[in-house]
Amino acid sequence: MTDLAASALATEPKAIRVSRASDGGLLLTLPDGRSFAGVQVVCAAPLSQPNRYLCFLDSADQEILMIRDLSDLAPEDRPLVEEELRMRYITSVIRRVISLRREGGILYWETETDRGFRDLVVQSSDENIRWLGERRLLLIDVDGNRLTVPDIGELDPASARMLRTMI
Amino acid sequence: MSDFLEPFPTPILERVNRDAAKDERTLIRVAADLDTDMRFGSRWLVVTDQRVLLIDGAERREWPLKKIQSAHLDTLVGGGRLVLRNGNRELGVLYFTNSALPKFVEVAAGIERLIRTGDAGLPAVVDRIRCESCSRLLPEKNGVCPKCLDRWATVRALFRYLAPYRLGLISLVAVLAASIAAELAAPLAFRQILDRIVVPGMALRVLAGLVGILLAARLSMWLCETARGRLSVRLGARVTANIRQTLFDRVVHFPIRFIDAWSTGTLLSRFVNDIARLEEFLGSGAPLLVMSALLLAGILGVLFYLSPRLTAAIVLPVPLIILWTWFLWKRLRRAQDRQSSSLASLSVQVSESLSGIRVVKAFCQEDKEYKRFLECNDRVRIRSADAERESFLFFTVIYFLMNTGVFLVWFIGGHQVLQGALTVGSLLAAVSYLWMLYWPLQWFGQVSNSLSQALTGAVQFFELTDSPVEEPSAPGLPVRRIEGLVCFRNVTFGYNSNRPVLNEINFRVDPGEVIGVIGRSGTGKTTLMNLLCRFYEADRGTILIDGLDIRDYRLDELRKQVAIVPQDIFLFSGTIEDNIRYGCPDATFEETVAAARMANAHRFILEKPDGYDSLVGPRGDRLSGGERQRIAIARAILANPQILILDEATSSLDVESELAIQRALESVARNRTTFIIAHRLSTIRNSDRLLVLDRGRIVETGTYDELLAHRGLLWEFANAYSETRDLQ
Repeated sequence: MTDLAASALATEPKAIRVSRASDGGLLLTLPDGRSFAGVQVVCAAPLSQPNRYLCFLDSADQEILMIRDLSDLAPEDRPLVEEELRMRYITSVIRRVISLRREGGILYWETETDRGFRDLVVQSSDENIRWLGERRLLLIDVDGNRLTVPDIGELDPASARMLRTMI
Repeated sequence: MSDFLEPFPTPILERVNRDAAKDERTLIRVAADLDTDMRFGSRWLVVTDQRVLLIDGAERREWPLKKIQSAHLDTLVGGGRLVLRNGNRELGVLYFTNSALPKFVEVAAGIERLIRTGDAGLPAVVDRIRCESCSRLLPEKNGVCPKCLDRWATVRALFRYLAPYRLGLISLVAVLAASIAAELAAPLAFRQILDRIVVPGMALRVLAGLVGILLAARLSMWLCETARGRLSVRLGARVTANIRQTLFDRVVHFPIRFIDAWSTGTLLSRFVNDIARLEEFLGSGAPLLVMSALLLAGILGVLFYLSPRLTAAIVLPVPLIILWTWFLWKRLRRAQDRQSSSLASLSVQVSESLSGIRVVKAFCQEDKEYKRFLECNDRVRIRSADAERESFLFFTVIYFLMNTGVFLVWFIGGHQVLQGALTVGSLLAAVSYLWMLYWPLQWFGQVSNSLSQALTGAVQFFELTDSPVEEPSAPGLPVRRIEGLVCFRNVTFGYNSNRPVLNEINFRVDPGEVIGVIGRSGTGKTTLMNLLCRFYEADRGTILIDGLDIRDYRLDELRKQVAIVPQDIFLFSGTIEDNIRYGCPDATFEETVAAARMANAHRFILEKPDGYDSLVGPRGDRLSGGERQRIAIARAILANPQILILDEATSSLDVESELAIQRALESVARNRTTFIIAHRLSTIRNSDRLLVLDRGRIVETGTYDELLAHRGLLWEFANAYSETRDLQ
């Protein structure tokens, strides 16, 4: 590892402690004994590297440290951080496309997601319909909600066909 | 009913009402769209003047209002949460997606107000960001939906652009009609030749006359064709010039928020591709369409005159054709839509690579840009091929269907000739008309191709022209001379209404004051000034100039009296003099020089061989950053505004030049309000007062020395600043 790469990460991730404070916020304690309340966990690259490169921010949004992977943390602390990430990134996963219709530059969707049924409207543009790699798709609807298709190849044939012809 | 009292499903309503106190008043009743498992569902938040309830299916939690000490809104990614707290203790949390976020931003603020003042003070309605009928995102809050405008209005609007050319249009149609009459006359003459001369063998004089008619028909057809070409090309060019002009006029008057929503490449493509299609259609497509329609009607008329039964046989395949069109048209349209969107992204890519060519070369990434272009180009190739294939399939089938008409005519017509009900001449004329029928039908194919593209272009064009523009001189608003008293009251604003960039900004500046605005980058300093210029409208709160809401000023008057030197300087291609005089073309040369001198630009301008006549290059590329800044300052000074905003306007200058400009400004700043945004403390040190911004809020105000003594954020900046100075 180069010096530059090493400087980006926390040195002793296993010695970091994460716990839930009584006010519902996260409490982060560093190996040197310093601790921070009201900590937020954010993904540095939530789209391309979800659940990796996790940054801990203090209550003033200043970065405290970054770890490379969830598994770098002590095992007992992982579920808590995982939970935080799940609540923070409200991205729904599309399991099935029920209907998809295009009018002008607007796409009207009805989808079955991991959170249940959802209809949405997406303005067709490279920003709102982003391919993350060959088969992964991210949609941002007109309200700014995020939905993804993790692998277009794993969708049922009808949904995949609709996606391929419309996008 | 208020938008914050949403209708409850009945069972929940009953449960809530059951134990409500008699005089209890419901103030807020809204649904969040995520349940406790973070699935889509609904959880209800009810706030009355006595209680706060969270209702989730059968489960219900409630607290007396007194117990809630804060309602805090957290913005998450793709949604948000509302946290109700008692001191440090978290009582309840409510999650929702971005769709419900704008509503909960108001709700959280409303609960906070309720706790502090006893009055929730919620607006009656939530801003509509979607069209109520098609749920499309509106280009402007509470604005009109361009998509739901009357379709007929689109067509009528297109005709409006044709109206000034009425005379040309009428002569065009006349020429077309004449050419069609000539075309229709030929087979009729031919029929006479066959029936009266070839078969029974009649007079030579008649034959000569008939051949003469044939010749005259050909000649007039040729003449009409030439006239048509000239007329339609001239008309088309004029109409599209008119349309292009209208489009540009609208675009420059759009609110900045709206222009932000489009990429420059997309707008460019509107000008280049869509208008080109409209031009092609109006120039050659539309006349062809009219001609085809006239010819079709003429042929059918003559055919009917020759033999009604034959006409029926010819018309037989028409329903099949209509069915086929109906069936495949959408596919064809979609393929063409995709083709045009891939073309648009190609032009975006090319313009990006070329504008960034210095960076590309500096990092040796020419090949990467080339590869990116190849990808785009490939997509255009594939999608064009798709569109062509669809269109080929579409038209060959139509052609085939029409051909079945020929067989029918030979069969039925031949049968009639054998029975003696039809002459041979009529049958041959019918067949030649039928072949003539194919031409307009083929044209219909070609024309409808360009028609569909032109209509897509037209709809996209009207989508732009029908969008609301800024009203530079709203009627009824008086022209006022601004004194320079600026007041921000509870101003909250975000480029994306979910994420406020400025929060509850309050300050007051007296006329003639010089105000330094300082803070870390990204804290909203520039945004604050953008609001003052009314580039954007505040989401909440009011901005007053001389005690009057800035929305009550005429926009052109306001912007004339508020001048800004922005962070990213833009110069137009032209001379230095042109650029300084950009805002006041009437300024004399003496005034221009005086402004340049104040901006400390005069000296470097004189050093150039062409002085004030030097060309600045596209975007001012031939000047250095510091030179561009000084020209922009001169431009603002020359405009003689009552409020002057310098947004990092001297950041590229050495300290000496900056001081010189400041001294010059001091002499003119006596009776004008000046805002100076800066990172360098030396720039704002001599200001009358400082505003210190941090994370969208004003955290400190006062003179430099007061704030230093206060040992707050400015003191921190000052320490950091002196450290870096020591290093130098």
